[in-house]
Amino acid sequence: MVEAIVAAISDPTRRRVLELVRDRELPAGEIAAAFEISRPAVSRHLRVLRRAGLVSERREGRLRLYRSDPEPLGELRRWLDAYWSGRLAALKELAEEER
Amino acid sequence: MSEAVLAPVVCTVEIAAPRERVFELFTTPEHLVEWWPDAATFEAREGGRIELEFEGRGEVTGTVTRFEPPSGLAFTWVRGVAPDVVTRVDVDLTELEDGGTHVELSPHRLGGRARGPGGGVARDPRRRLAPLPRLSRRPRRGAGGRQDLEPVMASS
Repeated sequence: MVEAIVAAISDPTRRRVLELVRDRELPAGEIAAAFEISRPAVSRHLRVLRRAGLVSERREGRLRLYRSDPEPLGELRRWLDAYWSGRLAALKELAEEER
Repeated sequence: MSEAVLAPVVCTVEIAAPRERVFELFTTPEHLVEWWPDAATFEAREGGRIELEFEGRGEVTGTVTRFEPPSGLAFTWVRGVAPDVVTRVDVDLTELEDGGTHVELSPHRLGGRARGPGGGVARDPRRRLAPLPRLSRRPRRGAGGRQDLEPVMASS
């Protein structure tokens, strides 16, 4: 899961899409209008973000509305915290063992 | 991106050893492999290259952006599989009253691409011509319980 999140946010366009739908729900067309890339390309980016759980999609009539979901980023943050805490614990063990 | 969601990650630990010792463990390839990667290059100076190999999980490269023994260091962090994502890791060492060390480590995601104008830290063409010296390898031990993926980004 962390891999999918990292892959999704490693692309600058996708990071901008995420920012765009952070505080408001937007239809795909409006998201595409904010970028100088094709609508199919925006759809592809939205698909990657959805697979990673970073945006949710809701249908309203013929519109598909997108909004960012903060949970996966929280997961990534917890993972990073656990990773670095683990490394520092290993550093501490080594530093104290060799005194 | 999502600063509101991602509050900064800050990890701390107190170590019963002087700062000089901790700084040395963090900045010499021979010691790095004893607690972190499987193989390491660490050019101990500002602007120096870092290369960390994690067996079966790829490598991380970076540049030392701050080198101030024994008070701290900072380096950029770019995974081979995600060269567009640049993280900077800040490490601050504070002396405790009892002579120990307070370590504060914080990874920050840097905006923009690693390659291209203004951010060329991920790919140094010279690397292809001259392999880095001083690649220290971890002495074989047990599995060690390390995690499956090296971190690639964080809040900022």
